[in-house]
Amino acid sequence: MTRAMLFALALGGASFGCASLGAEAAFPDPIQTSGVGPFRPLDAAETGLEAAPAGRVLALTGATGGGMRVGERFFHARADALAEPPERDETLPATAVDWARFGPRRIERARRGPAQGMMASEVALEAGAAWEGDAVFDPWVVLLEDGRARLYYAAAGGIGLAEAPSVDGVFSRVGDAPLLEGARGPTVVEDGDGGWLMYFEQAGGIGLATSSDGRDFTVEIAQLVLDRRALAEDDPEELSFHRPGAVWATTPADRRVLRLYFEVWKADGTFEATMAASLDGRELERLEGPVYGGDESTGAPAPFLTDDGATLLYFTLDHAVGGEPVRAPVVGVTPTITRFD
Amino acid sequence: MQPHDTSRHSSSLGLRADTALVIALLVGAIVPSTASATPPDTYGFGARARALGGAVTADVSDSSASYHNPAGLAAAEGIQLSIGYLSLSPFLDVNGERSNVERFGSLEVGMIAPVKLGDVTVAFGLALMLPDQRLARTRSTILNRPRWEMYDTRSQRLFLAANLAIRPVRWLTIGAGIAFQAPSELTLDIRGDLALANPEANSRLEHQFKGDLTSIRYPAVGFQIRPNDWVSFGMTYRGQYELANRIIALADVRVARIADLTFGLDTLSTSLFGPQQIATSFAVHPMPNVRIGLELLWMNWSAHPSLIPAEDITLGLEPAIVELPGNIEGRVAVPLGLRDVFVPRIGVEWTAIRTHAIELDLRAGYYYEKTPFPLQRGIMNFVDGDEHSASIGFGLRLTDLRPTLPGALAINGYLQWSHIVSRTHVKDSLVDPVGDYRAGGNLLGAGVQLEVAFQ
Repeated sequence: MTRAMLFALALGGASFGCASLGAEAAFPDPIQTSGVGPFRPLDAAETGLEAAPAGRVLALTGATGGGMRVGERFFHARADALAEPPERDETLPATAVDWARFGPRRIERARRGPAQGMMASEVALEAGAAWEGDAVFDPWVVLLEDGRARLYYAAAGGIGLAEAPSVDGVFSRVGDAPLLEGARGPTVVEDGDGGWLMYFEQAGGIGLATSSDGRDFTVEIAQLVLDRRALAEDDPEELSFHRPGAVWATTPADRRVLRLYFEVWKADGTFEATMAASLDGRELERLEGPVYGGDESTGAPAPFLTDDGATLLYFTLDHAVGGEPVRAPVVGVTPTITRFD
Repeated sequence: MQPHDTSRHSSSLGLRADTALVIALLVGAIVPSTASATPPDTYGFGARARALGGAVTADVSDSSASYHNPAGLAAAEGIQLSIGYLSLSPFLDVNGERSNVERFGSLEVGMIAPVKLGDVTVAFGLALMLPDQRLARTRSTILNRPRWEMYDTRSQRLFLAANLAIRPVRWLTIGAGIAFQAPSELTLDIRGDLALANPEANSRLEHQFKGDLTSIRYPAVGFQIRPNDWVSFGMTYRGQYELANRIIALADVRVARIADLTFGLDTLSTSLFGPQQIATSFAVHPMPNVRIGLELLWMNWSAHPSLIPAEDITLGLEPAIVELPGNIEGRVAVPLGLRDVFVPRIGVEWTAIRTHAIELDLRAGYYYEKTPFPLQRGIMNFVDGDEHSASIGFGLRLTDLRPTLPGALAINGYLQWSHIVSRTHVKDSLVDPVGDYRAGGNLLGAGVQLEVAFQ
């Protein structure tokens, strides 16, 4: 029985030894599956770009009107500075681009580099039709199942459409008139029943048009209800809504939710990106705050869902060159723990 | 191995005067009070009890009686000492991502000291559960972080229970005791001058830290009735406890000799709560070598207060050299909306070998514990789900150890698998800062316990 006693002593010793093990675990990671942010700007290691501000996704000269990502491509509007620009329009928000001080805007196509940053930007579409005036901007590209790419864009006369055999192909205009006259900032998504939804900016609000083929749109709702439930005492009044960017997302609970990001102009001369969500694309629940936590004005938000469920948001951030506001295209991510190293 | 009472003394339902006096003193010494929640509420206590799914209230008589039913202490045949270790590894996921719930490991120590006073047995018991990393941990609730309330902070507590039991007649044991927990009040006070230029060299700041760890107690009362050799009945009541932690931070600093900055933070949170519980249990021996225990546990979770701290924040600057926010809103406690639960348990024990020198018991157990947490549709994110738990174990008892040991030596071990049923939480708001999620997973546990029983 001495062996039994020795065994017992060994067991007791082992128990005390085990009691000294262990290490502190970190707090659980946050959950962010609703896409409301706050978005974390990617750092230089993730974008592969050292240029300021943080999260910069494309470093080019001139002014940017923001862009959107489709696949590994980034479509954006850009214009070069004029040698002798006119006086700045003082009615614009202080950090907004005064496009009159730049050359004609054009739509460019960049491709993703080895990291999340974009590079090798080339012209995808320039103004050419009579109704377009001298500029095309606010691009939104939809890839069809057969590989074709549809480019919805804005110009002086409204929203136009161009198509290419692939996302890297040459875009040709569809028709010789705008799809929606007087509208800007198109964003187009499927409606789940084979049709299409287009959200657009017009008269300081965001409207909804529908289509069965993605080519002929009918305005269904001229002004969506996007007001906040209540403004806090110190919050400036919201003046108008701009630059919608939409995406359907499926939550971990298998709910299909339309997320509509957009830009709010406020009475204090600032603007910020925020969002609303909907189950049917028509009745939206507004987020009570911005999707980006910084103090800068944020605009032209365009979402992109990654394969692993994260949401990338491409938007513009305050940036100036020589005192001239030019905006900077940046990218943020939620959940904020997502990294692209 | 559970020492069974094999005596065949007849008994009477009437209590003798001295016995009644002892009971009165015993019960009178226990003052119910609000107190705290413990690791045994989640994991049980003792290797045998865990192997039997916790269905032991009717006939427990080893050191785990200090938690499961203090009345069982008086059924012990002699002094018992036990030491053991348990380890439980959680594999809990939210949206397919592993949550950072750390492994729980704990040393368990138990002691029973029975004394015969004529025909009456009085026993004293102690039980200690000592987590292997910290005596206590407090974590505030971060709203957008998933929290496995039952398996995270809740288990990181020292558990200490002291009990007395009496066996006035052969068929009845009664026990009661108290368990201890430690709430805390922490105060940080900073005063002095703050220089804006080269503050590290020119500032003169004093700080004072005060921490109070005071004990709170909660009661446990139980009884066992063993009218014959093949059936027993037991009931245990454990009191409610609530562990409040208060943190006070005060700063009164003169900034650059031109303004006084004051800051106050007063946060009060409930870091741990244990519901009052009633366990009702039967144990039967349909065959001499087989014991079956059935138990139903009621847990009064609906009394749970908010886990979201209530905060009061003040900030002042005189004169106002810079603009400060007019009002800083702290968090407001939010009701949890928990519901009471009933936990059915079953345990089967088979004595496979019984000789004069050795006994071997094989055990299996199961329980189902429905989560008290409702689906998380609002701002809170307590992701616990319903738990199915199955366990197997053994008890090897060496009884012929004289002259080395005047008694028996027992080794008990068990393996436990708990499955947390996946739940899908759908938020009422489409712009909820967290969004929808699924949460579920498994826990794997094992433990071993050495027990020495002196005769």
